[in-house]
Amino acid sequence: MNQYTLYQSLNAIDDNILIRSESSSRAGRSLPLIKRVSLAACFCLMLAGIFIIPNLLQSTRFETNSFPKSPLETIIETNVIDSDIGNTTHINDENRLDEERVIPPDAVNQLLTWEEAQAFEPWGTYLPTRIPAGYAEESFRWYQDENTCFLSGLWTQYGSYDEISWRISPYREAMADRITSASDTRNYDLSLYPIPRADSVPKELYQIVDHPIFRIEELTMEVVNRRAYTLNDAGDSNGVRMSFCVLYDDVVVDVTTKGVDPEWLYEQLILLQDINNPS
Amino acid sequence: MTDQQIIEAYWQRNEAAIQESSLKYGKYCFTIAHHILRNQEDAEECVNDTWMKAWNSIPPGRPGNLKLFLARITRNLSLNKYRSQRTDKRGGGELELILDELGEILSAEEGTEEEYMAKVLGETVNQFLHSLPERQCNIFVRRYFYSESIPEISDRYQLSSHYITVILSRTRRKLKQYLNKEGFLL
Repeated sequence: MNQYTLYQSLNAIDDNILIRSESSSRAGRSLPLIKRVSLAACFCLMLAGIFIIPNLLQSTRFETNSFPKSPLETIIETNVIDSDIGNTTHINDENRLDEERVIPPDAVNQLLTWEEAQAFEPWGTYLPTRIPAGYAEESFRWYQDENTCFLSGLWTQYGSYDEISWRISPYREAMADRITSASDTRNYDLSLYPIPRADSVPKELYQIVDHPIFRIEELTMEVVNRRAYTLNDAGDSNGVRMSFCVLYDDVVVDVTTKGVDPEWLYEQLILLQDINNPS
Repeated sequence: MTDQQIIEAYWQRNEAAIQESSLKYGKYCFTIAHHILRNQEDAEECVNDTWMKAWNSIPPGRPGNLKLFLARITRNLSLNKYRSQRTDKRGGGELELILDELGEILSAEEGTEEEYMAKVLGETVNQFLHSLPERQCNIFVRRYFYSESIPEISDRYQLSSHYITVILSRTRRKLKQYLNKEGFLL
């Protein structure tokens, strides 16, 4: 066996893995806009200070007209400029996405704000209503092509790899094999399968253990706890990780989190049931 | 045209199938070929061959996902072209690096029936990928299926190149252990 054989063997990668790698493009982490603006503002404040302090020291009487721009004016201007830069970046990102050749030309790939995503019919109400402290919104996307469609949200924590990824899509028949009853713990209880799971999960259970789907009626705190695990990976977050889907009638909410409390996640998922099916 | 309509056109031996495939997935296939070959003319040639190969495969084939079906053909054709060129001289390009990286996983042993081995190995690698966390799996796929460069993946996921390199290195190490356990590297 040589490296060509291995390279060629990768043609057998499942369609769903390949699709996932495309649709999750750019759902990574970047410095949130608000933090970029804040950093730019601090930088400008420093620059403004360099100009102002000598004047303060030299002059006992301030002539407004001769005074350099105030820090506030500078900040306002900076924010305007930075907003423009931010918009440009945003537009550039979208242009890049349009140019991205792996996305079919007839696909819808729309970036949204959190508010727009929450108002998005009919799935916006399946986004979490609140996010734990420390997480900032990163990106929201409405994506649709012939094979897949979803509304997604991503929140990240600055300075760490912690994140909350939320994806809402319609239920499809292909997902049926991943639906599990809460009583069938071998389908989803990660404490039964030590890492590396490639060694511990039976082959016939790979798919369902990897990403099980629970009916919301069966979701309990215990189920969520069974999906939680931690990983000591140098350089990565050591917070609690969870990944699974919840089925609300014909809507599937797919959550992947790192660094959040299982109790918070459970409460959010139950709350979505109350919001969307108040009866 | 939808994918289903294009596949139907192939079945009816309607040449519009090729035009529509080219229109809809031409750029996509070109990107895959270009990532491997890093040469515009060669990549275009592989893409053109892709339509012919698809024409000869459908029927009897009826791909579940046309886009990925075409991607796999392009990838195979590009690899073959790359190999035939490499027999003449050792070229640069991304694939050279990718193959070197994959070579770390394997023993130097050669000579097994390649096609059969690739099929069996593919199933095993698939199982391995299912066991990986999503992001790690995605990064691996972008690098070793789509043959993207580290900066491209870094840009795609907005992660540092160093982070991508570390993730890939760890995943290769895990894959090596996995293949070893499954008896591929004995």
